[in-house]
Amino acid sequence: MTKILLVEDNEMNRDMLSRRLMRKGYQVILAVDGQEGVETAASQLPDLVLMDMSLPVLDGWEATRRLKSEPATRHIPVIALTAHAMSSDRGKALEAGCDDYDTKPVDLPRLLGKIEALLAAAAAAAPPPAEAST
Amino acid sequence: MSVEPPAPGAARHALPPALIHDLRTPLGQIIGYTELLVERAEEAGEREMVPDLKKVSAAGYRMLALLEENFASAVTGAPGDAGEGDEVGAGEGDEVGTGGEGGSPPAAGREGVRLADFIAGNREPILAEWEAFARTCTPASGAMDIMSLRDHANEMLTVIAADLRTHQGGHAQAEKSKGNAPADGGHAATAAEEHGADRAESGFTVEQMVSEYRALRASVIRLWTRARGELAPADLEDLTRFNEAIDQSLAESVTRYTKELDDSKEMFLAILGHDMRTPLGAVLTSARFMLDTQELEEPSLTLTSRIASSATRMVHMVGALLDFTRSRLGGGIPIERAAMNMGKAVHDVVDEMAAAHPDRDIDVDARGELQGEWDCARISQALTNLLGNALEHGSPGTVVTVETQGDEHEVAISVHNRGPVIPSGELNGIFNPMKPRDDAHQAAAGGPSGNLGLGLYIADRIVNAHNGRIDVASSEEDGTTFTVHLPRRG
Repeated sequence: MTKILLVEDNEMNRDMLSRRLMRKGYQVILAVDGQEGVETAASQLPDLVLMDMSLPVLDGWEATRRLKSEPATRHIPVIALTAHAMSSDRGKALEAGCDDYDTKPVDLPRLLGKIEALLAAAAAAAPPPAEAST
Repeated sequence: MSVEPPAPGAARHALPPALIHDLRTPLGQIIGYTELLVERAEEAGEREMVPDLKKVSAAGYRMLALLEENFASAVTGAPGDAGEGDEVGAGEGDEVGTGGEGGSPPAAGREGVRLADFIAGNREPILAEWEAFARTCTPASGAMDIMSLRDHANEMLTVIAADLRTHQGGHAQAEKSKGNAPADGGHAATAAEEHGADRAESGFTVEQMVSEYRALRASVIRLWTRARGELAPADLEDLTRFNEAIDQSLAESVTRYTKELDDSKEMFLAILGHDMRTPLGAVLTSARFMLDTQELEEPSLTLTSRIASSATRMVHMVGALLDFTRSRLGGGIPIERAAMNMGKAVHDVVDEMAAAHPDRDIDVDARGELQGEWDCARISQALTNLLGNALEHGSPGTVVTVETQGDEHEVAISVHNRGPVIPSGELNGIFNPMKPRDDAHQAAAGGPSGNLGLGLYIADRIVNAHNGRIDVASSEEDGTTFTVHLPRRG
């Protein structure tokens, strides 16, 4: 089952989005701040990360930078989620290493399209996992 | 925290984007939970619920569209990427003589041409140069009417020339150069103010508008000195007066420009608040109706109560938004005094907040004479905001204390919490919601805080309407205390 890590500090958003993703057949694991997000990603190695940008402890940009600088996690696609609909946010997210970007409130069909596209690209690009991690 | 500081020009207008950001969070929850309910209802074949749910989600999307619309205008309306204002377009251009076309040729007497006559006679070349500059800084988006702006510049020149011909007292002169001369129905005020208002409307940045004035000044001075050659003492006096007149116009234009921008921001917030109320009411009523049937099973019950709680939070936000705009546009929050007991009001507010925060301890203490005449509903609102602020910023596990004390002059209510110290630099503007916020997500981090950063502002306005004041003190040793001082009626 495809495993998605959702990093989101707002309890209601976390609950709502994880319910919706689970209904679509994904396994969802959760983290409530950037630090926990980085640790959970390293220990659970999800197939994809949905990263809120405005996070306590460690914000989403920095958390993404850390994920992308670690050999063990750098292959995991990250989709940035932010409530700011400004184009500069998009650039900032991509600069931090996010593979894609979506705005909140989440438009689920659109987000699912992005998730599937990134998962397909990751599957195509990644050689067998044993080689990928070195 | 890596939130970028807002662009310099945008700082004073930081409120709308932050506020719209805050409103989107509960709205996204309403939409998400509703769609979950729709999916479940359709799967379970509970068709009768679906139309109502679709109405809720339609209302959610309507509000979202309202926010998107206003977000766009909030962002484009804020002056941001101003060009460097230092380069003024008064460089080249040789074809100007001492005698203007159209104007009467300057008298070639011993006195020479005074600046006022020179401006009157060379209006066209001055305006042509000014216009060439104005075109270089016209915002690409705003299809604005150069000719009507040129009319303002023309009128300003007329008034400035007339001004130069009349004698000025020393005081008026000093005041004028500070931009403080009274706008006693004079035409200069009107032309300059109109110019500022139009510039704001056309999407000019304040820097661009200032550059225009520099250009106007530079054009006149350059053309004038070239025509005059050697300057006589009278010419210097004219130049000084001319500079002062420009300064005065500029000050008026800038004042109007900023007022215009603030007004339009607050106006759209007011409209936004009103527009949101209807769809929001629909959401809340539907959700409560569904809960009232007592027929919901899990997980629909949880989903629906979450819709109701997000909608309730939005109702509070929109209420705060309307209070804010009312106090800014209508000059204050209206209050109705009636006999009340402050001790009881404080108790009621604390009970309500304690119920909403079962994990927190709130201590209450009341002493002295607490009877008086105030607006009970408004005072409760102010106390709710202050207490909410203390609970939000107080460290978890610490006690929040509310002390009420009455003497013959006033009743003082202090709300105290332990937690991060408010830096002394921020204490000053703590009630000003227009201050740039870098904590848009700090508030969210503490959970569903349900405020727009307007709570302290509204509390301050309410206390102010009672001729009272709120003091703030914050330190490592003593924690943070907001003290409301309410004078007794009189």
